[in-house]
Amino acid sequence: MKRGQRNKAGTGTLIIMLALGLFLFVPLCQAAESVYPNRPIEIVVPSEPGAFGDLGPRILGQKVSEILGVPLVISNRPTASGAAGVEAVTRAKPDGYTILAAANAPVILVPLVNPQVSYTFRKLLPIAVFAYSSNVLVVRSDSPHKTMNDLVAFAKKNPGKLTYGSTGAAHISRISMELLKEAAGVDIVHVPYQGGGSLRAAILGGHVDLAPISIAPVLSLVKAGNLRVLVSFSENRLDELPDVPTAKEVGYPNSVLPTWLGYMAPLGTPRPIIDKWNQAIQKALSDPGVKSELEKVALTIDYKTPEVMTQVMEREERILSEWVKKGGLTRK
Amino acid sequence: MRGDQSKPSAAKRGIFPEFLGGLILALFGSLVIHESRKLALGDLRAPGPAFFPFLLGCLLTIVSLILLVGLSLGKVESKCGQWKGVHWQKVILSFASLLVYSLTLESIGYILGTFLLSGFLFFLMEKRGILLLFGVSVLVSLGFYVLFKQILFIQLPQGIIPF
Amino acid sequence: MDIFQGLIYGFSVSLQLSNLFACLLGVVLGTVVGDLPGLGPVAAIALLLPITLKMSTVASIIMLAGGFYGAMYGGSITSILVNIPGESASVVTCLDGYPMAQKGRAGPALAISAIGSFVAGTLSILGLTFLGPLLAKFALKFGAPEFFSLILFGLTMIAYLTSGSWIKAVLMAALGLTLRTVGADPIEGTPRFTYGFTSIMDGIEITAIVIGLFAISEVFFNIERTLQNREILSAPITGLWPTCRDLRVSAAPIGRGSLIGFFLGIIPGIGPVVPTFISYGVEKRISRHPERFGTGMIEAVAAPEAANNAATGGSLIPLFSLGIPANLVMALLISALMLHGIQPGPLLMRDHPEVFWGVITSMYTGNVFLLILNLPLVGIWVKILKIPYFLLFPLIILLCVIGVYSVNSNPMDIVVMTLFGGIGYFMRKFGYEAAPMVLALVLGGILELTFRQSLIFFRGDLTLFFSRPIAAIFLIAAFLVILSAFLPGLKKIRSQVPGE
Repeated sequence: MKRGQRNKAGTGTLIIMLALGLFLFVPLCQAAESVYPNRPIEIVVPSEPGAFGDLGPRILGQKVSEILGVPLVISNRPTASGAAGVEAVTRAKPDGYTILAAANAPVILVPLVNPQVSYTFRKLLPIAVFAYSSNVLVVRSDSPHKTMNDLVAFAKKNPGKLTYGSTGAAHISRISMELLKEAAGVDIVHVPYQGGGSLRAAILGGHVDLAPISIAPVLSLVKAGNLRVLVSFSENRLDELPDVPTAKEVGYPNSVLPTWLGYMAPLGTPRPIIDKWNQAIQKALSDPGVKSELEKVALTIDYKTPEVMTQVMEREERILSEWVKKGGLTRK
Repeated sequence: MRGDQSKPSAAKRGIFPEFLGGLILALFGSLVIHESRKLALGDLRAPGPAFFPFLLGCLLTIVSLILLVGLSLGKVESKCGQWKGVHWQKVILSFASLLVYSLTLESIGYILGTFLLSGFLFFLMEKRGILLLFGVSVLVSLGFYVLFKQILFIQLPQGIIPF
Repeated sequence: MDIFQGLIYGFSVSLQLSNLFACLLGVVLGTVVGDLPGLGPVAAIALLLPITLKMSTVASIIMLAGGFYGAMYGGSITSILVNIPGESASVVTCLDGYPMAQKGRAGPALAISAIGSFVAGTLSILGLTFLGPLLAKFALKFGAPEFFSLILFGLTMIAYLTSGSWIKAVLMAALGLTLRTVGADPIEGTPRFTYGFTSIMDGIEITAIVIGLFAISEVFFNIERTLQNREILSAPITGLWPTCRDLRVSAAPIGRGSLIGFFLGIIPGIGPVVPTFISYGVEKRISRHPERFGTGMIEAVAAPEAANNAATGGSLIPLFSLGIPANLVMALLISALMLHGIQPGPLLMRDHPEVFWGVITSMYTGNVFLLILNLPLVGIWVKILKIPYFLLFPLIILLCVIGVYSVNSNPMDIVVMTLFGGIGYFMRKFGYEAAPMVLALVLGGILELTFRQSLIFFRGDLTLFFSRPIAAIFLIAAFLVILSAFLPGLKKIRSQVPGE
């Protein structure tokens, strides 16, 4: 093709492409005013896809999305134990289109143990808590420790001999264990692992003696007889494990710290939007399908209003910061 | 090796970047040692955060010094790339534009940023048919956006354009 | 039910039309996604996950597993064609796959990749079916000291990765290990070298570094060479199919790669990266022409590809027998199962045989699909190389940006990618190779973690490493590798110095 012809073809192509471009452009522009919500809402999840804190929002989100009438787009931001996700929401526009799928670890614990993190839970507006999950303390089924009392007695006689693994330094299950250690006055060596998977492999392989861990991934191992649960860090006995005493029952009530899931919004988000979310959440939670789905991933429904949520967060912050100060998780 | 002796100046020209590389690594190693001093070293029972970085810093420094010594003794072969006859200016420009893009992406958003970047890159590669490039850039930035964000639901940075 | 009954039952499930379709869809989407630089199996599965919510349990897992396989293969396509690894495990494929493409042998490279993957995948599934529970118990014996020794052994493979000076390889590895220390300390959680940046609290994102070092620097390298509107391939494409010689030469490597991949993939915590690198190292060591590795030896593509796929099958063992994820992708499969109300664990086989057997048999079909789909497509992939430079390069860069951003939604990752693109460019100019650094990066985290965990267990006594048989074996093996690789180098030095 000669130069001149090529340019002509080029202009023609250009026009077609611009037209195509505009055609794509127009549907993307939607009127910003009018009823909330009128476009997709971004849900920031401060954990990896498929992780514990991600499944809950996904399940509930499907129903809430139906109720609100717009898609909820999940954005996973697991960096820095979820701090990156939380920080992003604190900086987002308070127009109700960016919502945080909150859990107590990234929102309350991480700021206490990580000096680089600039927020506290007060930099966000609570919407509601919708579910929680309990942690338990497991041992291998062939372990000589049959009850909590056996364990504590052995540990007292043999300080520094037993080991426990954790899913990570800044995890709620680990804190429960440490609080229990303190209350019982025993010395058990901590071995950190990265993630529930490696911890499960370690306890099954007999590399650590104990493992405080979320109930969900170990339930089938317990039922199959590979693991035994000594105690559950919950207020009431778990439905799936009616024979297992709670930490409260065996005398360590302070170590009860469930992992809860909820939603939060940037400061300044208008009250009507928060209320609308609350209505949607309550309606979704009353759906039996949602209830059973959540239970399948070991989440128990537990709705808490924004005011109660604030109280819960304040209480947890107190317990956790006290413990951090005592030198439990030293950070500079 | 045998080749060196017949072209001593070529070897000399090739050696300098090698020296530079080795020097940079040695300096970096020292930097690592220095920075890791700020953290706890710990002991064998409970190695601290600085344990590994310190050892690695030492390894880096020592091995790069060995490299430098080896270079001056002439025993290490030089496998450097060329600098002549290649458009390294284009590379610098591409690199700079990509850097600017990555730093501003969050503020100006994916569509605008990608449009600017792709336009610039296309221009850098092919100087004629500017209007064509413009069109392609529009198409690419919007097309990728639609494809990845809408259809595949992969996250892309938001920006001043509200979608 | 016994194994044969189980298999028959499984096929009756997986060969149902809807499940076959799910498998096909998973494999296709997986390949397409895995194709894109930076997007690997994790992205593919994360993408497929929402779609599977609406499907039956069996269909979901079949589709996700297909996505995994597809993505692993997809990563090899770009490695061979444009020297851009789809993700870390594909780096090894670049080493000899790209030189093959440069010689016009992209077709055979892609084909042997598909064939090797197919054979390995099939073998590993056979292994999974017949040896599963036994091996799971073996895998559990790996504690921190065993992991450390294994990883250390894997790291010594850098000796085989370079065609140049070993000093530089050691430097690159050390650099990789050092970079890995940035971020939260794995034991105590103290931030190290983060200087206030939250975005690198978890460490510098490896995918960003790998894509930067390989993809972006490769693009830069090609940019500076562009004189006209040329295409990448200068050599004519000589046939799309492997020759008889190719197949003959690749047979044993595929077998070895499968074994290595399968057994190493079982161990929870070892991803597909370690077996791929070790497989390359083994082939180079065994080969009669080790100096030709890196110039386009087909066995150097066949074996790691086989290892890759075999590791996938192997990693299903801990998942199905104990509910333990061997890597991130398996963790995603666990969530998928949980979303459908199934608890992965020892009871899975008993309570949900249709899932267990259905998925296993679907992998046979998945592998068949991969082969059928990809062999004819080889011709099409190769045509991509014909897209003119000026269009291709910016597109590659943009795709990399999307791929890297999709991992963490962290814009800092793109900056990292760019910086390492520049670093990679200069590295190549100065004659340093990136492969040892990548290996060190991937392994560095576990290396330090398991070392320090071991010391906690040993209460500080280093000699106890040798009190554990498995650990001792790997440590000795690592030592032998170092000796055998570096001694010739030392001899060379000594013979040259008097000559100066």
